[in-house]
Amino acid sequence: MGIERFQGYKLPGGVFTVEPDKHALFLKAVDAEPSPAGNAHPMFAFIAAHNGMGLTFPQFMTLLDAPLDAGALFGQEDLNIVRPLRIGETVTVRGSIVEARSTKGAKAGSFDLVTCGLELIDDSGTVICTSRETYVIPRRAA
Amino acid sequence: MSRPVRHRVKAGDVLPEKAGPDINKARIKMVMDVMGDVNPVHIDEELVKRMGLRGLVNQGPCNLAYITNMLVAWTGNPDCVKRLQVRFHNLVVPGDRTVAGGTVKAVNGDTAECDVWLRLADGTTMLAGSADVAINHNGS
Repeated sequence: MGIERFQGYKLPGGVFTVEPDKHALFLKAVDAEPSPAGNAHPMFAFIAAHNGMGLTFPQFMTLLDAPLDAGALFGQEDLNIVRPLRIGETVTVRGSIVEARSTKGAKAGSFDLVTCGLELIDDSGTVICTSRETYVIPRRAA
Repeated sequence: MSRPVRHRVKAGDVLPEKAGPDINKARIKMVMDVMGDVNPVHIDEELVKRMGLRGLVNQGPCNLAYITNMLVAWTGNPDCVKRLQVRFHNLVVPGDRTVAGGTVKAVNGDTAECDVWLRLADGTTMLAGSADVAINHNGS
């Protein structure tokens, strides 16, 4: 079976904390303004989902039988923010691989599209953000 | 704080364009540190050459953040983004000069539904998609 076998794979999940120093570094890196309300930058919803899914990037690539230097890239992102993360807040991350398929492009050659659907849950059990992120993973001829 | 929305928002409004920051290896390294990102496409010059890419890859969340910066500058509210849905059409690399912009598609209550994009100065679309943005109808 091909990459499709991973569709429905439940990711280990985990927790993610918006660390103030890393948050400040991100604002500096992208020239963003801080929230006067002490909320985290919206991209921290994305970063929390990505980093809290329970697999490091090398582990994720190993799971998908892809080498670390495959050249994996983001293809699409759908981020829904019910309420912003707060700086210093810890959230629980849970999710699964919701879509996995192989395709071929005229210029790009063969590649896999793997989409993770992830939720960020606060300490009251409320889903505060969802992230659906699609990775493009080039596949070289064996 | 940037200048907020100063008129009643309506469909068809063009969002004020905003230029992105300088994109360089130092900023990419900062975001690798933030994210614990070890994807070699951000640091391995030989790999990106082999892949036929224009250069080291600027992280996706950064490119999204440039669109967010544009929306924040428009609304004056750093917490304005309620939803952001984009497709990454092209890779952004060090030295690129980006500009973010968009158009209001519809207004529903206190939310503006917008088409948004990130382009290079020559008009090449790098990211495009849609955003739901909190607005203040009474913005003065």
